[in-house]
Amino acid sequence: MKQTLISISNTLIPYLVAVAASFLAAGLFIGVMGFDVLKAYETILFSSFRSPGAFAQTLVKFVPLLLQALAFTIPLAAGKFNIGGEGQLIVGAIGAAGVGIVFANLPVYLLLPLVLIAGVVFGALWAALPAWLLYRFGINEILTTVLLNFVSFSLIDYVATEIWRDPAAGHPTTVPIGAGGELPILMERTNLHAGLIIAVLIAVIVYIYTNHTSAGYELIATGANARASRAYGINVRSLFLLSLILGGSVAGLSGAIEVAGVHHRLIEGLQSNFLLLGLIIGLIAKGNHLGVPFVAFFIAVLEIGASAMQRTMNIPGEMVFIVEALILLFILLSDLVRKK
Amino acid sequence: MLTPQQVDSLFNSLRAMVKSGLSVIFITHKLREVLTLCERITVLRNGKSVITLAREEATEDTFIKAMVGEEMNIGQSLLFAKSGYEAEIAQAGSKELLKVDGLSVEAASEENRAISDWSFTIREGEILGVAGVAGNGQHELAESLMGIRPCKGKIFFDGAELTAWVTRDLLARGIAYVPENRWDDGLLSKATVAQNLILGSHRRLPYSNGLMLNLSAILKRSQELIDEFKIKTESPHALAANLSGGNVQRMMIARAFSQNPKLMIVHNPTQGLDIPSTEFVYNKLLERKRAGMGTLLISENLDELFLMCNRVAAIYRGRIVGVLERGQFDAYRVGRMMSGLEQ
Repeated sequence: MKQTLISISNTLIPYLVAVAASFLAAGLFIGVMGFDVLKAYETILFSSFRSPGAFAQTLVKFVPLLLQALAFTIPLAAGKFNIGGEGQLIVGAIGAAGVGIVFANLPVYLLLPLVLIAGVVFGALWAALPAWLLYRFGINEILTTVLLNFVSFSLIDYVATEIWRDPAAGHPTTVPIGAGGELPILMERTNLHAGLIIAVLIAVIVYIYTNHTSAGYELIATGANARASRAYGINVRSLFLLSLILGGSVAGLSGAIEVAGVHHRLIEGLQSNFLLLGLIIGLIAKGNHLGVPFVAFFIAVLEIGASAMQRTMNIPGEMVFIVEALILLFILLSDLVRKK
Repeated sequence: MLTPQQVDSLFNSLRAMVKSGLSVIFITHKLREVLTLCERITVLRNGKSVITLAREEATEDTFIKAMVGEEMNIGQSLLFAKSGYEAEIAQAGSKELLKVDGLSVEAASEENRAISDWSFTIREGEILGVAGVAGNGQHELAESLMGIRPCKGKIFFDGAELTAWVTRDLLARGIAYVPENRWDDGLLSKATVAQNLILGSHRRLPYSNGLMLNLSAILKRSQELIDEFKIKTESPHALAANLSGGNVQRMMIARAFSQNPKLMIVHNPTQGLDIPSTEFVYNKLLERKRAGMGTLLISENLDELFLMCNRVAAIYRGRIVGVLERGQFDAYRVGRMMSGLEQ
């Protein structure tokens, strides 16, 4: 019992210190720029909890952040880096929107699952390409996953301006998907959609998979030392392939949820900066799948606080991005300090 | 490693250097070599200088006791009271456990030799030794038998021909492996000690029902193994990267023995172990022999091979030069065989 408490506090203390230090550093800048530092802190941290609407907003943000983080951390467990979550999200969103538009007249119990499944399948296929190149030719997956992001930008542009273009919209956008493809709203008068339940469910499944199953153990062992894992009967090359495709599926699902839950159509730019935040979340959580949802929620709170701060105090929201980056830096530093 | 002949010639050179007025400090864990060569001996244990004596001042036993401390009963020891165990070690069953026919394996790297057309058997309760200078086929032999490295030839295990060379199946059929390169092939440094201990058995009882891990069983069994094999670690949850070399070796030995395999392939199993731990491993090997299990002991340590094996195969440049039976063991002869002087 005492041991568990010590190990929990040993894990948490570096995080608290890192968060405090990053806020301190950001506060310095905010103060120098002539703003009220304490009010800025308060806005960043508590905006999410001021009203049910703001909290719903936070949760809507939390969904893609959590899924993007998982799209990164699942392959990371096997020692592979999926930096293509953005492209997989976009291609998943294209698949979801395509199905939602083409089969717009289907009833909800058919169309909604089809839209979500299309997102998963398209995301998986987009990740399968770099995964196969790695499996077959040993081509570095970091390079291929990143480069495919750029391909996906052109793809979404083509789909939103040529195939299903909404002529009424000023920005590249498709026509809306069928009403049956929309995720139900969980809270009245907010845009909190049922994608939250799906995302949390996925996070739970991923945690059980990596920490409580023999197959997940093989993933972790491969990430810890692929050569030794192979010597003890683990098919590491297949696991590299599988982990990247699983990551792509989750990213694709997050694209489908953005379409079915938030926009109800495909909009260029719907990927926002979710990839970068997902990477930061995954790295802050150090790939620990118990920690990822909590870190993702915290980052969602910061993001909502950032826009509130920009709106009400005119402090650039980018200040919060600096805070997030500093937290990551301090966490990585604390590892170095501990090793010394 | 040096063959016994090369050790002799090294010693002769050292003696010549001393005669011409040079001083030599000779640092080794091989007691026999110190006793043959040196005039004054300091024994170090746990970072402390235990004794310093002139060679003539003391008997061999004095130095042994100084090296191993009080925790070992030298009179009962496999290492120091060999004759008491001779009859037991010389025994072996009659039923073939492993039969290898025409094994050929390509070289693992440019420094290594390919294996061509090896045939040998291991009986139940037998320890077969493989003696050779590193890089003459040992690594290829171990990895091909474990299904890690592709090979040609036929292998029969426990009465059935192994057609699929899949490591996972071999582990499940009861073959365990202690690799030579513990850092690269044996240790999951970024995982916990418990996660390391279950590697290879992670789909089987008691650790798993095939799908879900049983975390409490893993914790309980790892703690037992940590205690039994004296692995120095804070807890089963500690990071394996923090283990010292000797403790990584103990962990790998514990992992292999805990699988209770019918056949064990061990490559330099006592490298980096202190004398009590080495003694412990030898006792464990003897226990396996009593239970009728087979062992392939690949080692660069001829003392170890001669102590534990029923037969020793000497290899040179990817070929088996000859197989000596217990009773014919002769360090100089094996030395000639493994340096290619005797065909």
